[in-house]
Amino acid sequence: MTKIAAPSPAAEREELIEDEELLDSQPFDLLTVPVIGPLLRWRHSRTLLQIPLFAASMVMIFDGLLGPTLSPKNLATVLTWVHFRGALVLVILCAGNLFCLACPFMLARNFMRKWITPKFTWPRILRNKWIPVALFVALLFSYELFGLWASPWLTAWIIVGYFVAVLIVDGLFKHGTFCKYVCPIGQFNFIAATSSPMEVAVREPEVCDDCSTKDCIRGRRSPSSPDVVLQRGCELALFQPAKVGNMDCTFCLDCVHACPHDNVGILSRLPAEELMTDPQRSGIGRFSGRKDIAALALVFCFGALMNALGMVSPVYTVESWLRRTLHINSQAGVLGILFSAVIVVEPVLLLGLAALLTRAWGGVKSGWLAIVVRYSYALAPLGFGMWLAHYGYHFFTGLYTIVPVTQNAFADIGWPIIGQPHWILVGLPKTVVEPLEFGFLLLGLAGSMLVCWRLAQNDSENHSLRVFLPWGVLCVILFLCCVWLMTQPMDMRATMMAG
Amino acid sequence: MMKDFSRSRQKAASLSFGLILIVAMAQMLLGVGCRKPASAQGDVSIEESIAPQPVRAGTETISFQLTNAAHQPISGAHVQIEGDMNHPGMAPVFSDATETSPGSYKASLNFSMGGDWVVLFHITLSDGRKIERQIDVKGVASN
Repeated sequence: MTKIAAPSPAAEREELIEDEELLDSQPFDLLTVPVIGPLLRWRHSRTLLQIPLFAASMVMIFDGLLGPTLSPKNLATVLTWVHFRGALVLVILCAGNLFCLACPFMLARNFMRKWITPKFTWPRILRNKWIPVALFVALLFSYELFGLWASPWLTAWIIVGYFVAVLIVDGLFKHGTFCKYVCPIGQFNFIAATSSPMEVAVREPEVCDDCSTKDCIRGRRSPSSPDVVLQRGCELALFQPAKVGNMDCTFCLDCVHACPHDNVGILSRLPAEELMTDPQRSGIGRFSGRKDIAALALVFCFGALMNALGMVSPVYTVESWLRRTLHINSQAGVLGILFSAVIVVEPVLLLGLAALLTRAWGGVKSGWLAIVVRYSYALAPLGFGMWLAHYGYHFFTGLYTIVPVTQNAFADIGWPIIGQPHWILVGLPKTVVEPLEFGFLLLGLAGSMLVCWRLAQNDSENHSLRVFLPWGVLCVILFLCCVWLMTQPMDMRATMMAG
Repeated sequence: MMKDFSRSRQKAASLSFGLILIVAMAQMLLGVGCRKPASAQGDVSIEESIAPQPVRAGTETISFQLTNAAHQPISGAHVQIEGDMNHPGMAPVFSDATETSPGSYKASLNFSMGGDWVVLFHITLSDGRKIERQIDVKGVASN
């Protein structure tokens, strides 16, 4: 019988060394690339990247509130639900969490903090992911309930609400409270970026051993006036030498600017590598001890299914059946049942069964819940594959719609400098996009299977296959669900009760 | 002295920024009620029907009558019909209507997928006036 136990620091180090030996000993470092590297290392690089997104946010708010009411012709809806979401997941897939780096909300916050210094610390009881997990579910629920994609006005107010929330939370509470403990988009990015090929990491660990100032987390203050911060350290409490992976990392590069030894880079790594081990992580602890982050991973995975389910025909058949059988006429009620079934009941049943089989077949002695928590993280790559397939579909098939919508926005304000809108410009044909969707799903499946296999190997040396089997089958079942969803005819209704 | 000057400038900039933000937000709130209507009807009315019912994905026939304020049929109009999904990023579909009898027009529109659609009528009257009309076609069923 094997019990899942936290590995000793020595074992962890050995494991990491083994992992590193499998890879190239000199990882690629984005900060050494000509032009890009110096640009990112420039102290004001973040602000430079934030300004265009801030300007885009303002335009989206303006057009959303005052522009065309028809969603496909409004910049707020087109940019938010077609381009922003798609570009976000594709950038995370190809590089890392660069959207948090360029976050426009943080530009407003940093501006505010020039005059307002927060006084409070976030309450200890709330220092977890439960609030953002709830907000993430609420966002997915509202998306379906109110048909957010169809309303430029609501979309604009969500952006406004986000700015207000950031300014209130970070106006009152110190450090990166909003990013770490509130922001649902940030949590989406964090968990998705566990599958990214790059991470902000220490270049040479030995250099950190001799470091006495720890500027990467403490920051640097003026020697003459200690109240003056010359350079921030990590606001999300990630101490570089003990940081593992992309969880909670906004790629803000404060640590890069703060390190006096120029020892922090944006390094390549095996995607999802951080999910295969369970070391003590700075600012996080062990994944196995974080039920809240495990819940985030599950909502991320099953939320991807629910979000796609809301856009295909069969959901209306299910909804009609629920309405007839349970005599429910409330849209929120029917949607609540669907959400509960997909985001709560389904994972509890599937992961619970897999955990029971892991105990029975694999001889793993740990408790049912501990096994569920440990393997929840393995589903993140598959969930990411589904988000990629879904958002990638809208992004690629609607890629060029930004052109006529922008032309229309200029024409609407009486300044048609880029011509009349060419509404025939849409995007790539479905025949090109559909293979990409299945490629994303396969990539996600491969990632999840690999993580499950590595976890199973760590859990039982003798019965790895038996431990792996229930989780491997679970991944395949979820993958088939994703494939089935992607092959259903699209049926996008702003109100689920319609028809 | 220099520091005080800089601080006062910062405060002034902050106040200005805040004021602009508040005014802009108020305008946007008020502006919502003054948004340009999606369809300008004027003295022209349109009565439309789509067949067959219920509307399914695929080609459907849209028939409509154009009448003036005196309920007289309007002939000789050029009408382009545009179908948009309510989800952004989807391909719009277009069709030109033909006049089948005085004031009566017909067009075929290919609803390329199921879901909620919005159909726009871009009408150019024989005297050159341009009119737009919008109807919602909710719950187009998938095949």
